Formats: sequence, C-alpha cells, structure tokens
Amino acid sequence: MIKVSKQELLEIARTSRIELKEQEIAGMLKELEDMLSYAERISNVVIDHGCAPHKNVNLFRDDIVQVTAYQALLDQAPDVEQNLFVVPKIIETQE
Amino acid sequence: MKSFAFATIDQLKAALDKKEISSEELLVFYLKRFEKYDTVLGSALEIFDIDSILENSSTTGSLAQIPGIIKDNICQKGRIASCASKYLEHVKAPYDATAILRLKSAGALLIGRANCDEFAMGCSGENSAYKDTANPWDLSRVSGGSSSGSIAAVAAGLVPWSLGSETGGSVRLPAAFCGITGLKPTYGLISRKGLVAYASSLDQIGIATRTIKDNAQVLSVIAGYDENDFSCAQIPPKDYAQNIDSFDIRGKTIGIIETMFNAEGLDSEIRLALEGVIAQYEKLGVKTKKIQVPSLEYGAAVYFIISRAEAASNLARFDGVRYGHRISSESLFEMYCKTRHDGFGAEVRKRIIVGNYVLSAGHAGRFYQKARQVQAMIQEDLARALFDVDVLLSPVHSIPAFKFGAFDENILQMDLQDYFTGFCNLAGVPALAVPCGFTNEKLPIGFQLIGKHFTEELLYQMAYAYERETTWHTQTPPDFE
Repeated sequence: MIKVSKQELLEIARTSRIELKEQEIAGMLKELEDMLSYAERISNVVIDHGCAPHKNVNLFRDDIVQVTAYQALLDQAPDVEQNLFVVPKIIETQE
Repeated sequence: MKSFAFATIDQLKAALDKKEISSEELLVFYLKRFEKYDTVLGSALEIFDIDSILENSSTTGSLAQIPGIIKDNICQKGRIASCASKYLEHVKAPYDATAILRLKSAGALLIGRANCDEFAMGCSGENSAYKDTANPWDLSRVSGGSSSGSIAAVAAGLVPWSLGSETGGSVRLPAAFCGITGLKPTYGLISRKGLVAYASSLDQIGIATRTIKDNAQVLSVIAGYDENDFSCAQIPPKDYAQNIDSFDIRGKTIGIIETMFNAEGLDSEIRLALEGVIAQYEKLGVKTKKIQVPSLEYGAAVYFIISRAEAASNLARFDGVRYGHRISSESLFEMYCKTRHDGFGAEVRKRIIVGNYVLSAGHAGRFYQKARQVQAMIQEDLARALFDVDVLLSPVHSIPAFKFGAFDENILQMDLQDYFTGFCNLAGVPALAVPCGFTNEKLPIGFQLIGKHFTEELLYQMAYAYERETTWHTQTPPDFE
C-alpha cells in the first residue's frame, strides 16, 4: 500500500495548477493512493533486456504560411479587446 | 411510415435509391426519435437544426444522406466541441477533424454532438459535466463509457452509426454493455487531427454501429493517411466491406487468451456466452488454440500510468488564457488554479494529479519509466501470441452494465473495467467488440476479436462469419421500438 502525505499531494496539485479545497483533500488522497497501490504491481515484472520502450522521435514538416480566419479563434477567448487576446498580467510586483 | 429505426446502412441506401423515403424525411425520422427518446436516454448534448445539417451536404458518396452522431471531443467546424466539460462549454471548433471532412465528402449527415465522459475519461458515462447517458436495455444502468452517447444512440436506434474515441476501451466497453459493434482501429489508421487529445500515444477515433458491415463502411470513409497527423500510417484507402461476404473462414485459427478468461471476477454468464462463441466458431470450421499471455495481467496498471501521465501533459494547455473558461483572480497562479479547479470535473482533476505524480522526479522511474518497459513487453508478447494465429479472442467486460452510482465508493474498481480492453491500446493493435448474448436479466454481452496491426478487414470478416450465424445484433431494446 502506497502512502502519500498531504504535503506531497498539495505539492503535486500546485505543480498541476489545480486548486484543492480542504474538503477535497481526504478523498483525493484516498483515490491517489488506491490507484498507485494498484499500479505498483508493475514493480514485480522482471524486464528482459529485449524489451526496450520505443524511443520518441520528433518529426517536423516545413512551415506553411496560411491565412487563418482569426475571428473564429478570437471568438473563443475568455477576454478580447479590439483584435487582441487580453491575457492576465504575468509580472507581479512584490508589495 | 415504415420504421427505419434499426435499419442497416445498406437498407437505408436502398430505401433512398428506390425513393421509398426522401433524405429529408429520413433525417426528420431520426430527429424525431431523438425528440421522443433522448430525454430519458441522454445520448446527445446537442442536436443541430435541420437546415444546418443539410447545408452543403453532398448527395453523392458512400454514406450519402445517412445520419450519424459524433462524440463531443471530435471537432466539427463551427459547432461547439466541449468534450462534455464545463471548461469548453462555449468553445466552437475552428476547423473540421480530418475524419469529419471525409464523412462530409462521403455525404454523411452529422446531426449532433454525442454525450461522453468529460475529456473521454471514464468507463461508465457518469463523468459528463452535463448529464448521464442511460443504457437503452435498462435505464437504471449505465451505457458504459467514455463514448456513452455515441453508443447508446446507436443501440437505441436513434442513428445507424456514430463516431466515438478509444484510449483504453471507450468504444468497445460501452458497445458490449449496449449490445452493438464497436471498433478500436489500429493506432495510426485514422487521423487524430481534430480529436481532442487525452493520451496521444493511445488515442484513436472509433466507430459504433449495429452490424459489422455498417462498421466497415464507415471505416472505409475515414481511414487512411493524413499529412496533418504524423502518427497516421501510410495506408492507402480501401473498401473494408467489399470482401466480407466472400470470405471463407474454414481453416482459420483463433487464439483464446486464457489469461483474460481466468481473470478474477469474470461474470459466469459472460464466460458462458463466450464459450458459446468459441463453440460457434469451431462449428464453422475454425481451429482454436488456448494461449497464455501473462504480461496482460499488468495491462490495466500500465494503462493507468501512461494514460494519466499523458493526460497531465495534454491538459496543461487548458490554462484559462487563450480559450474556454477563465476565473479572474488577483494573481496569475491563482487564476490558473481556480480556472482548472472549476473548469474540470473531479475525475479529470484526479487524472491530472495522478499523471503528475507518476511523472514527478521522485516517482517517474518507479512508475512511468517502468510502465513504458512493461508496455514494450506487452507489445512483444501480443505480437508473439498473434504470430501463429489469425486473431485473438477475449472478453471485453467482466460484468454486465451496472447501476448508476454502483462504484461511487470504489472508483478503482470502476477504473478496472479497462482490464480487458486497455492492453490493445497499449499495443496499438485493432480490436472489435461484437454482441454475443444476454444475461438472464436481459443485459447485453460482448466479446472481442483482436488482430495484428492493420488487419481490420480480417477482423470484420471473422466477426461477420459469427454475426451471420447469430441473431444478437438484430435484437432491439424493447423501450425504443
């Protein structure tokens, strides 16, 4: 049985950029531990060296300049001003 | 008017050709069925208005004027593509998925968006942010997931065909629960362009129909190379239906995966039905051979790790900045966290967290890296198992469709529904779920045939030889006549 500490869960949630409300923590911990405890059975598998996972290969194509009807994309944005996406401020000032 | 509710695609085409019914009448016929039945079934998130369905539709092509419904994670230009998530509630697809483009040029009428588990994550259909989809055979039970609406709509005779998607069994499992045919194609046979990513190395668009031939006809339209998806194989288009009738099954060999038949918790009625399938094949002159593939026991564990890891990466794009949901906050960090908390449902949030755990510095070796090694082992073992047989046969599900909420207290048991299906996605091989009986409670049972890469035609031929001898596929849920 794998145990995950509350601290570790909060750290993973932070990395995931997902808020965890206090009342959600116990349930999430249980489900995370259940899944990991089941998944851990793969540690019993002895790998013979014939079995190497496939390497990921990056494939590229040449860039093609296309004219996109950008209005359709702008329409999906949470916030727009004129023809621009309004994005949240990314530089925060320390008080 | 004659009922076309459970007609095959060929029957519909013949009726249209003979002018027994006009294409508009046929469309209205199905739309009325949605109106009448879908309030209790919950298979559709949206049915489009008739004018927009018919607009620019082609009257020629192999699926001309044949209506179908599309899972809500496949992009249809100008239509909402919400993945049954609140996060994408108002987001409209700016382009057509390649499969959709091909369906449109073959004349198919795309009538709506099918309900599903949010971002295709689930086994029951209970994770949609909008509503549950019921099983047409028993409305108190789940349809199975994640392609819940796509499968339930076809099973209830609301449309003849639909597209779903598969990452670990999301077409085959509900197809078995609802008594219809569901294909998970070889990885790379169908373009994934326009299919919203869950776990990219496993995702494939799948097809649900009531008969084998219908399934083959839809695949013939959408399969084949697409330069917009680099994981798409250089397979020339072909007619997967044309050699189904003439196929001679005698002398073929089916490998029975004993590892799956011996799995803990396999329902006795399901086991009995599958033994019936094997006996039927033997009667048809097929040789059967029992095969052990012990590494498949780890399929579910490997699938859990790899799918969650890829989901965590893929869903990082939903940051509240360029499209979809945003909860405005004082700080950027808080905006991300609140947006992703409120936009995603509980199951999606959990899968992202599990994914980031198994990828994190302290745990990646033990979980993700090891899972990739075991995946390679499963791939090799399956290839070896398929070496001297034509196809493999296995259960698709351990239990029949269950009641809503049955696994609320034990989510892991729910996730383990993928035990019989996930290994095919891990190995990239094609698999076809086919109806093969009913339990005493009149709940459908299915089996699956699994083939070597790109042997969909053989799967159809082998399955059709069975379908032709049985009547399971002609049985229809009594409440949906």
